[in-house]
Amino acid sequence: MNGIELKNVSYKYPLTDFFALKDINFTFEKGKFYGIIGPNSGGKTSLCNLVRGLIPHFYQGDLSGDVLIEGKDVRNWDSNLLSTKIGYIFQNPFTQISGVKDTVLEEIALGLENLGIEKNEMIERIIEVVKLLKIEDLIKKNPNNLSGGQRQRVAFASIIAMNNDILVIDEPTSQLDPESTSDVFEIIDMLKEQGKTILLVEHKVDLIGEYSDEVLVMNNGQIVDNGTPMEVFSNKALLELDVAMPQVALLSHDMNRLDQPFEYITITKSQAKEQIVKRMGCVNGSN
Amino acid sequence: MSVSRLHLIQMEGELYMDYEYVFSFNKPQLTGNWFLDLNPLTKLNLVIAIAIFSIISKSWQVSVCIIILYFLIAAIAGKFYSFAKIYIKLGLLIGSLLFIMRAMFIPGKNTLFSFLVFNITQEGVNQGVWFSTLVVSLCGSLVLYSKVTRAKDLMFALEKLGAPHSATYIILSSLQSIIDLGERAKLIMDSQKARGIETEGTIFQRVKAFMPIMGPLLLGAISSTEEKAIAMDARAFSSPTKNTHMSELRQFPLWEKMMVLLINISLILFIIWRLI
Amino acid sequence: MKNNFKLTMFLIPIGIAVNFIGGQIVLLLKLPIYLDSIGTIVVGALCGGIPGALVGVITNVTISVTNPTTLAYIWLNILFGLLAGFLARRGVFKSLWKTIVASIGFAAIGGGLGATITVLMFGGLGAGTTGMITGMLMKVGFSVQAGAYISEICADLLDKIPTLIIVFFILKSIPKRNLVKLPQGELFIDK
Repeated sequence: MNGIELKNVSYKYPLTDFFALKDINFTFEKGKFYGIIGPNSGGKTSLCNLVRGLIPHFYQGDLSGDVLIEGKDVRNWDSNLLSTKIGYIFQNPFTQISGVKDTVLEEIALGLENLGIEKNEMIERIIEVVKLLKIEDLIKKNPNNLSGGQRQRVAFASIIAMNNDILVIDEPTSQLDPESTSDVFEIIDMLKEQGKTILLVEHKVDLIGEYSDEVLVMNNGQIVDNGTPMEVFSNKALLELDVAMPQVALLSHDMNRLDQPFEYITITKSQAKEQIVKRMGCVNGSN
Repeated sequence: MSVSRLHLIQMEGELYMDYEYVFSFNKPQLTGNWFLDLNPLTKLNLVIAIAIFSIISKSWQVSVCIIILYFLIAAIAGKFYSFAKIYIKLGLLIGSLLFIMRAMFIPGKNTLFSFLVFNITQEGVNQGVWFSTLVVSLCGSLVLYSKVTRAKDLMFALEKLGAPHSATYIILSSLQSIIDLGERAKLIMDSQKARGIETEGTIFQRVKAFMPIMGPLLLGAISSTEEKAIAMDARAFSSPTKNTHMSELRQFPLWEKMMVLLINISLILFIIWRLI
Repeated sequence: MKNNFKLTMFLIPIGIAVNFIGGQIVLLLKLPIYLDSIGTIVVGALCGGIPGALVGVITNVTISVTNPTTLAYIWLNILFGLLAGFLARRGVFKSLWKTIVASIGFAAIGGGLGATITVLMFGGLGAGTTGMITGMLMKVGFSVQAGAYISEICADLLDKIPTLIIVFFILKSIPKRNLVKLPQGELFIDK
């Protein structure tokens, strides 16, 4: 059983009274790209911590239910092995830089050194990720002197160089400009094509709509909706919950309200363009 | 494929990748200076031997010669300016302080001259000269070592001897944390000043200024430590597999081993001679 | 348990850096004290005596690069760390007045043992202002040993009482979510 199964999972952080995660039932299938969205403090980061095995190993607290990673309960996994199986990238660029290496090249090599990878392969992998993240101009620089956005790209490169089967990524583009952001999404898509399982928490829902295979919406520690992006963003109930949606989906919902619906709720720019063109055609009386 | 061919197939629009730099990691990175390229433990051995030598000699002339020797070694290693800049300042500061204290306060029979309540004696001056030159020479050995050795090379050498990964991490991380925390402290101090916390003025005002600086600093550092631990865990920090290394030191050449042997034997002979 | 150690390992560099920065801030504020043991004692209280002692040792060795005489006093740093771990387990750091009493204990070690080292290794005249004060006391008639003890114990009282008060308030302000992951952190959570 490859993948991650969550059955009736509920969790409270130590010394707290409320459920950070409540009655979670979901299966993450291998090789799919899952986008996780929802309002802040809705449980997205807790879900990441759970899948990554930090709950319960690092955070302790009360965990009930079954969390099976590749068939084995997370409580029975050796936490050190889990960390080599599941890659984890999170938001803060400053804490993800180790501080013990003085060039970006060696910083990226750090994870590979710890995995005991041979030097030839290390160099190959580093060249590959440096090119992907377009950080060729940074390789000689001291990682401790980089800007937030540069650090985020270095941290991202450092984790994907490790070639984990499962990647849990929590808001990796918060400090990046739009061009770098779409680069990152393209890279994640490429990683999915290689067969990796991706869990991505993001607020940039337009890109989630464009790239992900499935979307999970979390609020108050529960999964309130899941399905393909089309299914999820067509769900009117989410508008009430103040869940962010792609611009083009909001446009479609607005058109519905005005009784001028598109054929379907558009979630990508190209779909929206197609629908608008069609609609304009009808209005003008042509075709 | 040779490095130059790879340059040629750089595609248009791609950023320039310094392949030469990347592939330079295939071999130990040497600086070309014979002294700097010595193994960090060799250099440590040398510096400690000189320090022991100066302690046992009990003569200020020896200490002074050794101080001059340090400048020589720094020059050979090509680090003269960076060494001298710090060492001269430090040496004068520590040396003069220690000398003055002993000269002024140590009682003795031969008074050289006195002013006010102070009685400068020959014994005091002798003590002062001996002690201050000794401490300055010891200081020199450590400052010199820090200038001719990179922390990461020393850590690599220690790991090769069996030091645990976590120990070398702690040391390297401390050095960086000192820099990071220092910068954060400056930021906090400026922002607290803008809020009206007085950093000048009476002693009470200055004492009250300490907590609003240290408090946020330390608490902020403790909470980011959690994330740091998670980030390092994600880099397989606690993985049980044996580490490989990107940046390595060269193997010990025979002449270096001989040199180490020579230095240590001379030192032991010197100690024995002194004790007889 | 493994996780407790994990976090300790990352807290040790912070303790060392805090010792350094504390010493520098007081120089900037021009206060006549050291305040270079805050990190040692905080880490000792939160993680145990040995990590605390380790913080003290590494701080001491690093300072010795610019002032080798400091190396002689390494025992003090070790004892501060160990003592902090021990006292934390006794609950001393949970009440302000107990902490202040403990600070006198720290000062006794710092000053008393410190003066002993100064006398044995440096003939009673250390580097720095305490040496000056010892010298002055000698002029007034005290022996060099008495002078060393008096000046160093007084200087340490002036230093350790504020140090421990600062440690108390810091330990009080650490969020619970951090404390649960530290080896001795549970001691500081008010149930």
